[in-house]
Order: sequence, then C-alpha cells, then structure tokens
Amino acid sequence: MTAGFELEELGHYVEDEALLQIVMQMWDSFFSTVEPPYPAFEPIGAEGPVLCASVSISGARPGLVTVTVPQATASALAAVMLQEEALPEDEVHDALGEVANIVAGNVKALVPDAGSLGLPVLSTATPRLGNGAAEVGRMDAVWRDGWLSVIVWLS
Amino acid sequence: MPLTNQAFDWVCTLVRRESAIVLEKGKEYLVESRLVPLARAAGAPDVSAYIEGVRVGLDRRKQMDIVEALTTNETSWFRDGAPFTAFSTAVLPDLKQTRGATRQLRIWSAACSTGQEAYSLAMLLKDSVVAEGWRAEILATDISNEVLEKGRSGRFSQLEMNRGLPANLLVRHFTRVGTQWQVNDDLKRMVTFQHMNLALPFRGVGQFDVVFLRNVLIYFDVSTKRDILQRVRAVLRPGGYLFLGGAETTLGVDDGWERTLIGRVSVHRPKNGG
Amino acid sequence: MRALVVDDSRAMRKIIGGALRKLGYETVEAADGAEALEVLKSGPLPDLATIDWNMPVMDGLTLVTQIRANRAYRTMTMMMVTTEAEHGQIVRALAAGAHEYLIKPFTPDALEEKLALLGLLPEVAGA
Repeated sequence: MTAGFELEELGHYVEDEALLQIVMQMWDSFFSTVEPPYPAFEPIGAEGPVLCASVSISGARPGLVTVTVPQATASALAAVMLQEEALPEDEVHDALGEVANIVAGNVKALVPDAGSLGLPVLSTATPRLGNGAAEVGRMDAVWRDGWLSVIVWLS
Repeated sequence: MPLTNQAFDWVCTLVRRESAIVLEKGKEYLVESRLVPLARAAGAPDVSAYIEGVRVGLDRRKQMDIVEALTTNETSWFRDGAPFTAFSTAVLPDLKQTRGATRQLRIWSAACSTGQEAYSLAMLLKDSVVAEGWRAEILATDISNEVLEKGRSGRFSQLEMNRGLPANLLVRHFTRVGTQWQVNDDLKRMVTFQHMNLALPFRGVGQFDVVFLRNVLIYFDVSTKRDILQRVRAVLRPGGYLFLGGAETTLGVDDGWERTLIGRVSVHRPKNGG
Repeated sequence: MRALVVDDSRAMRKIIGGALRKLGYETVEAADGAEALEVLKSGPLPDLATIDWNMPVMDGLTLVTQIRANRAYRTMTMMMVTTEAEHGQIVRALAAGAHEYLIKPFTPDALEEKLALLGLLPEVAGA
C-alpha cells in the first residue's frame, strides 16, 4: 500500500533514537541538576491523572507532538526547570507546554517541508491525530517514580 | 549515596586550580554522574570514597583523571573569544607579511578534542587568506581516538552548535542532518585529524606557523611540560606563534620563549626566531 | 545593562530572565511581539532583546522586522531564542535583522557565550 510505505518513510525522519536525543538535550539544558530519565522498552500504562501538552506542526505533512506525564511528574519537572517548589497549576502547565514546544521545534527540523509550529495546548488525556495520520515516533521513559511519554504523529 | 560536601568542595578546588573552571553549588549531581565510571574502575564503593582515596593518595595522574572527566564537555567554538580575535587581528596580518612569498599557512591545533578549535580557525582562515588564494591547512591532534573520530566526522549536536558559534557562521558553514549539524566539505578539507601523544616525540608532523596548545600542559608535570615546549619550538617556523591557555605560561618552564601581549592575550614566540 | 525578554512562556521568561540577571542585567519582560513594542515605547531602550519566534498576537519574526524598521531602536541588539531549528529559519531571522540566534534547548553557558560574542557581557559577569 502506497500510504503505508510513505508513512514508513516518514518514520525514518523521526526515528525513536532522534526523539531520545532531543529529550536528552533538553535534559542536559534545563534539568541537568537532577538524574536523567531512562528509556523504557514498552509504553508505560497511565495510572492516575495525566497532563498532556501538545503542539501542532503545519506544512506538507501536518503533524502533532505530544508530551504526556502523570500530574505529579509535571509538578516535579516544573519545579526542577524553574528551581522553585510548589508552583501554581498554571505555571506547571506553562512549563510542560514549553517542554512540548521545544521538542516539537526540534522534531519539525527533521521533517522535510514542514511549516510552522502551533502554540502549546494542554489537556488531561493524550490526543490522537485522525484522518490518515500515524504515530511515526515515540519515546517512553521512566523518571523518579513517574514517567514521560513523547509521541510524534504525522499525516 | 549522595556526594559528601567535603568531597564536592575538594573536587571544586582541584578543578578550579587546574582548569580555571568553576563548578558551582548545585552541580553535585554532575560531579557524581561524571565520576561514577572512574569510581567503578577503581573499585571504590561510591564516588565520595573514590574522591577521598584520590585526595589522600596525592597521585597527580588520578587527580587529572578527575579534572578531565569534569571538563571534557567544555568545548566551545571560538573558546574564550579573545585568542581568536588576537589571531585574526594581529597574528594573521603579520603572517601575511612574513609568509607572502609562499602564500601558505600551516596551523596545529594540539589536543583538539572534537575539533571545534580547528574548525573555528578554518572559518577565520577561509574568510581571510584562503579567500585571497592562499593555501591553509590545519592539523588537529589528540590522544583520544574517540574524539578524533567525532572531529573527523564533522557532525555536531544542537547543544554543541549553540556553544559560541556566531549564527552567521553556522548558516554559512553547516548543513543540518537529522538532529545534528554537518560541517561543509570546503571547511572539512582544510582540517586533518591525527592521533598524537604530546608526551612522545612529534614524528612526521612538519613545520607550523601557529600552534594552539591551550589548556593541555596542565595535564603534565614540569619536566614533561618543558620537554613539550622545547619540541614545539622545534616545529615552529621562524616568526611563528604559540597560543597557550589563559592560565598557562612558558615562564619558569622553558626559557626559549618571549611573551607578547595582543590586547589581553599572551602569545609566545621563540626567542631569536623572528 | 538592560534586557527585554520576549517569550509567551512564563517559564521560559523566568529561565532566560534569571540567567541574564545572574550575569548582571536588569530585565523587563513581554509575552508577545505587540507587548514588546509597547514596552519599548514606554521605557528606556534596552541594550538587548531576546526574542522567541512562535508567540500569540505578534510573532518574533514580525517583531524583529518592526524593530529593525524603527531607527530609534538601532542600538538595541536582537537575539532570537527559539525552538525553530532549521537552517532556513536561522537565515530568515538574520535577514530580518536579528543579530544572533540561540536554539532552545540551551544551557546557561551557551547564553553567556552568545552574549560574549555580541560584546554584551556586563563587566561583573565571570568575575
């Protein structure tokens, strides 16, 4: 099937290894004072409330980048990023949104003929991209007693 | 087991003394993660115990292993800025006068690590003498084959590209390849990477107009330093220049050099050599 | 020295602003391009503006273009600090008038080195 072949080709642009590199570079930049996450071999099941920040990519191949974490992990990540404990909810959302924005920008640079990035959108579940879009890259990792999951969709 | 304050403070003092790099409070995690491989190799129960062992052992080689483990990622483009400004504004114009007959320059980036210094020099040469039809080549050497391989590939991560490289040079000399950036071929062709242990005789390297030997002498004892500086003098063409690290000097080590100030940068030239 | 930090993310304004203040800057902030133009109109001209690309109301590239078009702002240095990481985007930003470009994510060292390149490190820094 032609479509399947093309999607496989797109997956080639956003390899899981590349996603891991992008996340680790973010770690070295904004989270370097704490232990890094370690990649998980399988997606980690969502238990309890999660927070997801997603950023869209426009262009020849519209896509979506999602960063999903348990809510407690979101608060802990924001505290590390801003070196400030007990941040209000809106600042936690903003910080996770910025994480997604940075991952999405670096992912966009891997996709040929990509257009522009959307602004981060926060939700309490990981959105899926329909209409012929497919998951082309994914990174799951364990961090402290939580986890994070980064998914790239392209159409 | 977290790092003890005492161990962290001792490491900070050691690193600052040997490399002028300041590890701030809050970098305990960095120190610990970087030293875990050394501690394991030494069979120490944890990093603090390993550091304590090195502290009381007074073994300089082991101290320098720690310094190296904590400073190897400090490579930037145009590192420290001022030496490159001195190179462009004073050294190159002088060499253009004195080397006008051959119109050739050879530069040595000794202890080149992953090649940022060598490629930075290549960018400066490209815009000056090479643009005027001169031939310029850079020999980049290091003792680690791992860093040489990376330098030779000419591929750098996004984080490495952010480190001191002017944006206009990035767009001119690099192409994006996946998550990395690739140095363009014209620049790559100017740099040759080669394995070399500075403590051993320099074989088959030829003569140089400029030698960059920055922040590497600190790893050697005084007699080896003297030996290296004497052998560098032997491969430097008359009227050539030596750049050392900001905290380094030939004074009291090898008397065959005279020091000139270019702005705030010290450059060293062989006595009676020009 | 004074810096204007333009970014729609409050977290990022805190990170960039905090790093600049540590280097000896006084900082003011704006959450989008339009707000940045208001800040410039009402206060003394900063030495430096760090400018994000993707923002609501007015994006960073438009802001750079507008600042560039105003002679009164000629002495202010503009550095894009953005996650836009393509070669072509850097070319566009420089062509629009940005003086430097820092790609997110970045370490505090990288920010400091960019300021050193621009000759915009306050004397107190690195002491």
